[in-house]
Amino acid sequence: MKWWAALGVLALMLWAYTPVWSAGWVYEDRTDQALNTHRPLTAWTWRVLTTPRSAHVASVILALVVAGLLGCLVWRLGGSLFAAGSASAIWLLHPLMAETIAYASSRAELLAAIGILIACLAATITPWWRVPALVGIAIGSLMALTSKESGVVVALLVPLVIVFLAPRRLSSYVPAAIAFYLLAAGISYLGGLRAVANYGSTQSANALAITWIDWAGLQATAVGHWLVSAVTLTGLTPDVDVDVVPLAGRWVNGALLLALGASAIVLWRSAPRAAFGLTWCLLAIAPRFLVQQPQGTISAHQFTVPFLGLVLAGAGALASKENHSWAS
Amino acid sequence: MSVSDSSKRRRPVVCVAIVCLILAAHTRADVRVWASDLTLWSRAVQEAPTKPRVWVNVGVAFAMNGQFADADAAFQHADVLASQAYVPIWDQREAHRLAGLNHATMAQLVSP
Repeated sequence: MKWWAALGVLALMLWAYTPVWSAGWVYEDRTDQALNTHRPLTAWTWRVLTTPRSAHVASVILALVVAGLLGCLVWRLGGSLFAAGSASAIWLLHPLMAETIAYASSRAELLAAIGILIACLAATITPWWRVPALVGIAIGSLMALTSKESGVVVALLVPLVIVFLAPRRLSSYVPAAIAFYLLAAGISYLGGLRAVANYGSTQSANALAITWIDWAGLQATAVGHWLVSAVTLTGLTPDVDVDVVPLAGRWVNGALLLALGASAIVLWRSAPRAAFGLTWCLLAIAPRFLVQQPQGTISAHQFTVPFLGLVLAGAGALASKENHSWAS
Repeated sequence: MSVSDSSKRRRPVVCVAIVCLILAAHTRADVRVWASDLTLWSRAVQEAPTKPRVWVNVGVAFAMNGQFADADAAFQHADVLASQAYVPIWDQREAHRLAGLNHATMAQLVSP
């Protein structure tokens, strides 16, 4: 991206977020200042950023960092400079990210996204067991995991990057095997799948009886809502009502997700970068199908990391740069 | 390079620039919604008019603004919605509890 284009995007972003400078705390901003015991990095930022304005300035800066890292990842995955710049600009300016950037409590998502992108960028160093790669993966993963619980998807996305870059090398599948073992051990440590499903629930929420298939239908509906919103720029709200969607509608949304998964498989050879982005998106939403919090269907700010995948898929469709080497 | 080649090369850049302008304009409009609890939940009510939790939150926003009569109406409406449709237990209990509050308790509830 040429400097004038970068400046133009920055100016547009600052213009778009001007209204937030005078905004106060909203919704869970007040309670999140006192909580976040499971999110040490996020909790620390709440101790430093004590006024709404400082919190909003921080969110805008963090969003710029996410956009910058996203551009770097597109570049490292073989995208052109134009594709990298376009991906950064579209992620940064998209209204779906307004909740993530304008809502101070969503800072946890931005911090987790930065950690995930750092880890994934480090994973583009080949071979993955070189010290700089391992250090970057460790730092990024630690940042993601100490920012928000959803940062756990770093354990899925880093192996994805490594397999994507060298799918024929057997050693590329070692991180995936390690991640699978760690995730299985983590679920077992927390008390099994049912305990994970009730993670963060209250006593009354535990009394809520819902089957896995019902939950999958609700969550697929919420994901479908954001996928449609990403294209139509409509339906942007802090609290989507998925309960009103009839069973048939939930199945349609489930089918949409399966179609995305099938597209990723079909496109893996002909349009690998687009397939990579779709896979990223699906892996990033996967944990949401396990944790069954009451009214805990995915929201716009929780769609931050999956949306990175959609943008990566879009960037993958743009022209690749010529003679770009994968080597670090 | 001919004029036509130059024009073809610029086309994607122009397209992305136009998309960015449209996105930024939409974002600016959406960011305004996050100015306060009242603007946020008033918008949420428009998007999800039958969801009890949204009405509970708009009620809390009214109460924080000192508009206790409006808050009361929102809580009552949330309670009615929660009793009519399938909603998680948390929503039902919360809506019912808030619908029964007097204005003094409401003010105490939302005081910093």
